[in-house]
Amino acid sequence: MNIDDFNKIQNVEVSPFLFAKIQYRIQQTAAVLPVKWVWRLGAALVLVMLLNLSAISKLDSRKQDAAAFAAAMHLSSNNNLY
Amino acid sequence: MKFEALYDQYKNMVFNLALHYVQSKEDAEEITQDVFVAVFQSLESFRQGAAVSTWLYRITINRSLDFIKAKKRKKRYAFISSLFKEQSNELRFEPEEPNHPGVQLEEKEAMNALFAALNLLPEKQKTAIILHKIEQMPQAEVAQVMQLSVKAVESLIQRAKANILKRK
Repeated sequence: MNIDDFNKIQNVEVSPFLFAKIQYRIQQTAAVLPVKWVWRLGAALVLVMLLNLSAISKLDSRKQDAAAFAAAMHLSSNNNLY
Repeated sequence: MKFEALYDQYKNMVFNLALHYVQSKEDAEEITQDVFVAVFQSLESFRQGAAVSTWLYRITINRSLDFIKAKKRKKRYAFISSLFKEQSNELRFEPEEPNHPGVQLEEKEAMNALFAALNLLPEKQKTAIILHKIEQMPQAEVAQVMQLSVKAVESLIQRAKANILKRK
């Protein structure tokens, strides 16, 4: 085996149809949402859900505070007269 | 630089480099497609100051090595599943012989032995030998592409030669 035999390898021309295949693949990949955008969308959804949950829990605690205040002041928490 | 102009200028370089790794026209075409799709997607972020050829060499080398690893995984799976399907009519896995289209018919046998030895080399040694011996790149340029020192490249080439000659 002679390593210099590698010099005998000749260059080969690319198929003329290869560029069309490449263009087709580029179009296919452009039609699909890039992975990083899917992650960003997912992270945004999780953030919105967490914000909603935090807002809901704050609302609940505010209602509880209002009920406790009314009880302490011997106030009625409903609007019925009788 | 426009994508189409880039493709016209470097298509043969990328294709032939991939061919030296996989020794199959079909596989080299697939790798070339992978490379230029990746180039298209990252063309805007490419630093204009760096050499385009160096950048393309690196992408092609990485894609070629990834392709080979993926093919080895498929072969392993095919071999293992063929062991369990003794009675089936499915073809058993047959190892592929190198079929580099740039090799003349009369040189095929000798070159196939050389390629078989090349394919057994560790990745860095294989890359160094391909770039230096087949692509005829000076060691300094090989070092730039591989992001290594010239001494490290020299050492890789020496070890690769020794390993190839060991398989006589």
